[in-house]
Amino acid sequence: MSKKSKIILACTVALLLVVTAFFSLLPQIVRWSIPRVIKAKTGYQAVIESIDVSIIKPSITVTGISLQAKADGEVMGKVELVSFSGVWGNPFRKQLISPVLLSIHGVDAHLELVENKDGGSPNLDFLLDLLVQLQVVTIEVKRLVVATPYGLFKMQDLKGSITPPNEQDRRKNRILTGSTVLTASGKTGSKSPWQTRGHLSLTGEVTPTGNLKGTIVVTMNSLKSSYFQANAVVGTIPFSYENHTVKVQEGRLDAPTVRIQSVDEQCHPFPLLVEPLQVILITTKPYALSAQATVLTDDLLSFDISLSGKVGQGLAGAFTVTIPELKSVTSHAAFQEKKDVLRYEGISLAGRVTLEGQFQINMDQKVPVVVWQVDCRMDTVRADYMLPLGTIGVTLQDIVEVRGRNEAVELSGNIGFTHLKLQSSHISIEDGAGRVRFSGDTDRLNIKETDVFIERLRFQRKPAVTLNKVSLRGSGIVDVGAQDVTNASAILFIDGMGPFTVSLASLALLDVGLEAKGVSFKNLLDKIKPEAGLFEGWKVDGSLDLSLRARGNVDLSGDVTLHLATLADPQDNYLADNLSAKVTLSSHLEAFTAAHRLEARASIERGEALLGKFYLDFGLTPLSMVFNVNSTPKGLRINAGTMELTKAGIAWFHSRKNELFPVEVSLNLEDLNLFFTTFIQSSLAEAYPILNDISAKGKASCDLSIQPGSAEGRVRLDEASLTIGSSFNIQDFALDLPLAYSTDERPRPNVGPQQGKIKIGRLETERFQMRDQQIGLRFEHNKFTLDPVRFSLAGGIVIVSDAAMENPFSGRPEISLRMALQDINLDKLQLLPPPYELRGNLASNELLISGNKKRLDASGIVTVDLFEGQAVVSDFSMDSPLSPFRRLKCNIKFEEMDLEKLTRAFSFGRITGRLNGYINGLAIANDQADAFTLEVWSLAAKGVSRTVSFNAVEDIQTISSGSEYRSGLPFGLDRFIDDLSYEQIGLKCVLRNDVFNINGTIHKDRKEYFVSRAGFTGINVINMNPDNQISFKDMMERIKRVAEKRKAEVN
Amino acid sequence: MKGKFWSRMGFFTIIMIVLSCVTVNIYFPAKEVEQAADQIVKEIRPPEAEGPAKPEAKPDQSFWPRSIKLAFLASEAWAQEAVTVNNARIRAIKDSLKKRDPQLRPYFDGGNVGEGKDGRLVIRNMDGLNLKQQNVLKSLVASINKDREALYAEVAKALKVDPSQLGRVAQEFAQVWQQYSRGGWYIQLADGTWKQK
Repeated sequence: MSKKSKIILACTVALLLVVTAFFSLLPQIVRWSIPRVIKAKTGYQAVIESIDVSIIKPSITVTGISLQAKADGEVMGKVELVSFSGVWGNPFRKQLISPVLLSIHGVDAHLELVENKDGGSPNLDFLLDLLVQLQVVTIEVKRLVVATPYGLFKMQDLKGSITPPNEQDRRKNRILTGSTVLTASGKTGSKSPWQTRGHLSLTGEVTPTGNLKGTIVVTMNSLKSSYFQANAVVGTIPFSYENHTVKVQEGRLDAPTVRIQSVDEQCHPFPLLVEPLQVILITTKPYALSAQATVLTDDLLSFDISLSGKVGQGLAGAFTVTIPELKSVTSHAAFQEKKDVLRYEGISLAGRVTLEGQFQINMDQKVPVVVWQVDCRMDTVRADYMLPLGTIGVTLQDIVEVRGRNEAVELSGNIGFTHLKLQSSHISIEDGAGRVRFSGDTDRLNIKETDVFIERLRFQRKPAVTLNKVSLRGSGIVDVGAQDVTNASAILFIDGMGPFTVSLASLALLDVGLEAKGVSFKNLLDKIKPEAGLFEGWKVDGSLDLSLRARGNVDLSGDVTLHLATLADPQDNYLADNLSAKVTLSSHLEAFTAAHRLEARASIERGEALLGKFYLDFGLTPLSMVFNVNSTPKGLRINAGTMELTKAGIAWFHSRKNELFPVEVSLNLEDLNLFFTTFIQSSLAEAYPILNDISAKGKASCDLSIQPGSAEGRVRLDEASLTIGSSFNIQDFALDLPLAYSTDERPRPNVGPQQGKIKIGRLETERFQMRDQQIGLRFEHNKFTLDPVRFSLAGGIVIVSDAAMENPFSGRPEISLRMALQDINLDKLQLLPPPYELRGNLASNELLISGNKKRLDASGIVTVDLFEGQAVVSDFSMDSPLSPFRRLKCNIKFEEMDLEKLTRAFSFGRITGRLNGYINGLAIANDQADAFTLEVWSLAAKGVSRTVSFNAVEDIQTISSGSEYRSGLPFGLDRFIDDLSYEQIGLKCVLRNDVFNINGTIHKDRKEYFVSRAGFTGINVINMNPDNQISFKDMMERIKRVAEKRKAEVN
Repeated sequence: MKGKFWSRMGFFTIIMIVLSCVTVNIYFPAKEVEQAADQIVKEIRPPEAEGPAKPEAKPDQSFWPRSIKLAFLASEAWAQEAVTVNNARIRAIKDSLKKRDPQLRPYFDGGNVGEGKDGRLVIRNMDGLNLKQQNVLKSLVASINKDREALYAEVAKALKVDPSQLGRVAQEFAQVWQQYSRGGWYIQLADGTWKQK
C-alpha cells in the first residue's frame, strides 16, 4: 500500500468518523443553535420544550417554543409546533438540505420589535428567503401582537400557506395565501392616538426560482385618530420579492371618505373632508409613495392635494396643494356656535392658493420627526377679516414660506398686498397697498419690515376727516395666539407730511402712541379738513408738535403744542399771529359705543388774535381753557368747559349732561374794567376814539340756559360805574336782569322768578342828575318792562310808566313808554349855552313814546311856560336815535311871549311887546337846527308898549344882511334915541338845506317890512332884499356877533 | 268778420299808443350831485396844496348904499350857495369823516385800502399790518363806510333824489373820492380792477 493510498484511506475513515459524529450530534446541534438563531434574529430568548430531528429524511420538529425577553424572564410568546422537513441536498453545491415543508402552529405571542444596532427596524428578510424556498408552508397563528415604534399591531387568526403548484400550471409556481384580522393602534408624533381595525389578505405565487409575487389587500373598516377618521379604507398592494428585495409596484390605498378633524379649533373649527383619498405606493427601496386627493372642508374649502415621496427609514417627498377657491366661514354653523369666544365675526376668502412643499418624516426616532417646508403662493387672494368694529380686507399675492418641524412651525415671507380696505363705523381705508416682510411661527410673527401706502384714510365720525396718501413703514410683533400686535413702531407720512412716529405697545389693549415735531399745520389742516366745510378756505401757516398716547378702551392723552405764524378765515374775521398754544388732551373713548368723552386743556400765552372786532394780545392776557367734549355720531359736542383770560379774570362755564342743548352758560367778570379795557377799549379805541373817554367798572355775571331759539337765566351787574368823559357818569349801579327769551312768537312759560331790578346810586349828565333810584323790572315773553319810576329833574318831577322793550335781542327792538313831566325848570336844564337863558317851566301830562332803532315818535304835547307866554311842543320824533347823527323833530307853537324877556334871554337888542308864532318842522341834528319854518308876529296887548331899541334894529340888520347898521340920521342922532315905537312885527324865517331865508311878513307899498311903524312915528325896518339867502355858517357867525356885542355892552 | 278784425286792430293800436305815451322819468340831478360831492369831499379831504380853509371875509365896511351892496352880496351868495347841499346832519357826518380821514392815510399810502367804485372804502390787503393795525383798519373802514352811506342818503334826500338812485349818488361820490385821492393811492375802476394813481 502506497503512502498515497494510506493517506486516502485515513482521510476517508476520518471523514466517515466526522460524518458519523455530525449526524449523531446533529439533534444536539439543532437544539443548541435554534435559540441562538432566534436570539440573533429577533432578540428574544427561546426555550424549547422538545426537538425531534430526523436525519434519514431530514426534518426538524420543535415543540413548545417559548420566547422570553430575557433569560428566566416573562414569556412573551409561545409557538406550539414548528415542523420543518426537507431533503438532503448536495453539500458540494452549498445546499446541504433543500427545504420542503414548514408548518408553524399555535402561535400566541406579544412581541416587541427591538431596534437593531443601527437604530433601524429588525431585519426579517431571512424569513422571506426561507419561505420562498419551501414547497409547502402552513402557518397558523392564534394571536400575534407586535409592538413597533409606529404602533401596536394585533393580528388574530393569521393563516398563511404556500401550497404546491397546480398540475395545470406549467410554470410550476407555488400558491401563496394568507389572511388575518388586524387591529392597530398607536400615537403620532404629536402624541395624538390613532387606531384602525380591519382585515388583511394576501395572495400570490412563488416561482420555482424562489421569486415571490403577490398582492396584499387591506380592508380597514375604520381608521381613526384625533385628527382624522376614515372608513372603508381599501388598500391593494402588489408586491414582489426578488433577489432578497421587496418591491411594491403601484400599490393603491383608496378611502372614499376621510374626515380630518380640526387641529386648532380657534384657528379653524371645521373638519376636513377628503374624498376620495387615493394613495399609490411604488417600487422598491427606497419605497416611493404618491397620493392624490380632493379635500373638502365641510363646504368651506376644497383643494386638490398630490403628494409624492420615498419611504426609507421614513418618508420624504414633495407635495402640492391647490386651492382653487376659498370660501367664507362667516355663515357656517360651527363658526356661529363659536362666535362668542372668537374675536372676529367671520372670514371671507376668495382666490387661488397653491402650496408647494417638501417634507421628510424620519421614522428612526421614537417619535417620528416630521420636517417640512412649503411655499404658499397666493395668486390675488382676497381676504376679508370681519371684526366687530368693521371689516378689514386685503388682496394678497406673492409667496409665504412656511417651514415646520413636528409641531414647531416657522413662517417667513415677503408678501405684497393690494386693495387693502377697511370699512367700519369709525374708520375706513381705501386703496391700501404694500408689502410685509416677516418671520416667525404660528404663535408669534416678527414683522421685520412693512410698507403700507393708503390712498385714502377716512375717519367717519363727525367732524369727518379724510387723509390722503398715507404711508406707513415700520416693524412689530404679531402675537397670533393672543391676536395682538406688540412692540410695533412705524414712521407715518400723510401726503408727504410728517414724519409722525407711531408706537404700538399693544393693539389688543390699544396702547398706541403718536409723536411728531414741526408738522406743518397748513398741510395738516388741508389733510384733515372735514367735509362739513370747517376751516374751508382758511389761511394757515404754522407747525405743531404732538405727543399723543391711546391706552385701554380707550384712554387718549397727550400734548399738542401749536405754533401758528398765521391763521385767518376767508373773511379775515378770525385772525391769529405768532400764536403759541399748548393743548393737553385726555379722553375716554368707548370703542363699541357711540359716545366718546374728551377733555382738552389749552393755554395760549403768546401771540395775538383778532376775533371779529376784538383784538387780544395773549402775551399780555394769557388764555386758559378747559373743555369737556363729547364725540357722538352727530359730531363733537362741548359738554362743559371753562375759559379764563388770566389777567382779565374772565371765567366761562358751559355745561349740560351729554347733549348740546340746553347749554348752561355762566359768565363771571370779576373786574369789568379789565374786561372793558382788554376786549373793548384796546380793540376799538383807535377806530372809535370816544371809547378812550369811557370808563366802566364793577362786576358782571350771567347764568343762562340756552336752547335753540330761547334763553333763560339772569344777568347781573354789581358795584358798577360808567363814565363817558364829563357828560355822563353813573355810579353805584346794579342790575339784576331776569331773562326768558325766545325767538318763537309764542310766549314761553315763565321759569323761576322773573322780577329784577335796576339800582342807580348816582347818575349825572350835563343836564340831569339822579340819586338813589331803584327800579323794578321784569323780562317775560321777550319783553322788558320797567316798574313805574318817578324821579326829580331840574326842580321838577318826571314820571315814567309802562316802559317796555319788546324783542330786545331780535335786532328789531321796539320800545314804548309813557312819560309825564311836572314843573321842569328850563333854566336848570340848561338847554341853551351861555349867554343865552331860557327861563320857564316845562310840563306834560302824558307823552306816549314808541319806536325802534330807526325812529322814535312821541304823541302828546309838552307845554312850556316861557317869557310870560306859553309854548306848546308837539309832534316829537327822532330819526336814527342810536346814531350820532340822530335828528330830533318837533313842532312848536307859542303865544303871547314877552318880547322884552325873550330878546334879553337871547342877548338881542331890546324889543317890547307880545309875540305869537310857530316853528314848524323843527329838526335838530348834532345840536344844531337842521330845518325849520319860523313865523312870528306881534300882538297888540293892552298895557304893553311896543318899542324897538336901536340895538334891536342893529341886530336885525346884522342878522338879515350880515352888515353893520348905518344910521339913517345925520351925526348919529339916532344914538340919542333909546326906543322907537312900532305897530307891528312880522317875520318869517325858513331854514332849508343849510340856507336861511328871512322875510318880513308885513307888506305895504310893495315893500316888505320886518317892523312897521304906527303912523308917522316909530320905525320901519324894511327888507330890501326879499330873496336874500343866508348860509347857515353866515347865520351862526351873525348870531355870534350879535351875542358878543350885547354881552360886551352888559359888561 | 271783417268788422271784428278792424275792431281788434283798433283796440291794439290804442293800447300801443297808450303804452308808448307812458314814460317814467326819474330825475337825477347829476350835476348837482357832482358839485355837492366835490364840495363835501374837498372839505373832508382838502387837497394838500390848498391848506386849511380861508376865514370868512370881514363884514363890508364900505360906504356903498346898503341896498345895492346887499343886492350884490345876495346875488353873489346865491351864486355860491346855489349848489350847496348841507344841513346839520351832513355837517355832523362830514365832521366825523374829516376827523378820521387822516387815520386812513397810512393805509392808503401802504396800498392796504383803496377808494372803491361804489363810493365805499375797500380793504385791498393787510400787507405789512400787524393784527392790531388790521383791526384798526377794519373798524375804521366799517365805521367810515357806514358814515358814507348815511352821507349819501342825506345828500340824496337834500337834492330830492329818488331813493332808487342812491347807487348813482354813491357812484358820483366815488369819482370825487378817487379824484381827491393822492398820488400812489389805489382807486377801483369800473371793471373792478385797481389802479394806482
